[in-house]
Amino acid sequence: MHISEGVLTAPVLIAGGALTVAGTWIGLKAIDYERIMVSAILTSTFFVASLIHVPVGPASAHMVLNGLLGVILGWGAFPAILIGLLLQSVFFQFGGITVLGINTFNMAGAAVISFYLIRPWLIKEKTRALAAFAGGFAALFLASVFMALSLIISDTGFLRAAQITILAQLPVMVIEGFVTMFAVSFLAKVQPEILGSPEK
Amino acid sequence: MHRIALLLTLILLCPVLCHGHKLRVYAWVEQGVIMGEASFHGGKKAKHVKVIIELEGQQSPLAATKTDDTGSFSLPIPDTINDAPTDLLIIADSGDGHRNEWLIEHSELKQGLKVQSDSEQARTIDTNNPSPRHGSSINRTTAESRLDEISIKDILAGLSIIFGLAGLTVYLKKRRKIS
Repeated sequence: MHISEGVLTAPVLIAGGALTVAGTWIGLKAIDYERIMVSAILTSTFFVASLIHVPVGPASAHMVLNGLLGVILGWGAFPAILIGLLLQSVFFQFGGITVLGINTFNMAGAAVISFYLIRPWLIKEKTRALAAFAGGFAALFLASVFMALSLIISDTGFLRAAQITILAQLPVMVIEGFVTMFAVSFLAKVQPEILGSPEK
Repeated sequence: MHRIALLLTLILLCPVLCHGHKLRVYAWVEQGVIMGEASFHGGKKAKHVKVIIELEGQQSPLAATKTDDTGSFSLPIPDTINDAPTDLLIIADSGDGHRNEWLIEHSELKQGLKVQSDSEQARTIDTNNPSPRHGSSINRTTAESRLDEISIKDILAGLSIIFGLAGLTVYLKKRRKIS
């Protein structure tokens, strides 16, 4: 899921960086005092989720959980994912510093879009579980599409690799959908205020 | 109260400060030659770092070299290890207090020596200027995958930083609120 350094062209890196700066600015404004620790817990979850590998045929993909962050934090997913990715690149050598902007945009941008897509159904109790599943699934699907586009814009030779990446992520999308569904359902029971209005 | 929060934040941020410049080294055997790479924590190549080879458990160096501009190094397997069924220790030392080790097991060395005797091609390898095959072998990938094992220290350090930053943000927001 992480694009490595030295793969993308400068315009893609710059555009990704600029979009991430804008998203992070909005995100920092959106996180109020009471939600800082929730953001920290979800950032930690995102940070360690990448260590959970899912076997996909001969290869393996890892968990991302950007959907969970998007569903709960909304725009706040931008700073959370930025910090998570920065620490992953320093400690686990996933991605890298020069691709931090584009990787953040791919994952956090997808998380915010999925948040707005499922929000109307998430606040209704009857449709909450299904909406959470869709949020988890859609966030990773969109992140894979964004990643594929980043690669193709840089070099059309990456088309095949981009297609394989999206296909390889399909089982993980389903798993993340369920993880998001169970997490949101649990939070709705024990601490429903967490699912408040993060877009404010 | 604010001072306690600030102190807690600084303590939580400490792991990354201690971890920031850790030297990493890994090596593999290819056609009679020990090849390897050294880098600093975060992926930066460790250039011109001293690399020593010695038998495990013995303090006397068998051979020494330095990494090149790409952080790579290569040395022929020392002849003296033929009779001794001992593992080989590769030590990288950047000279500023950062040092790390990598163990090449005797079975791996034996395999490397066997390949060397089977093929005279190995003799043409310039140990000072690694061939284009450097970095493309299965042995390298295997060694690298051993290196990439993520330690619990890395995970805890990352988590500490996240909560340290959260603590710092809470502190700053609260201070702004009061003022």
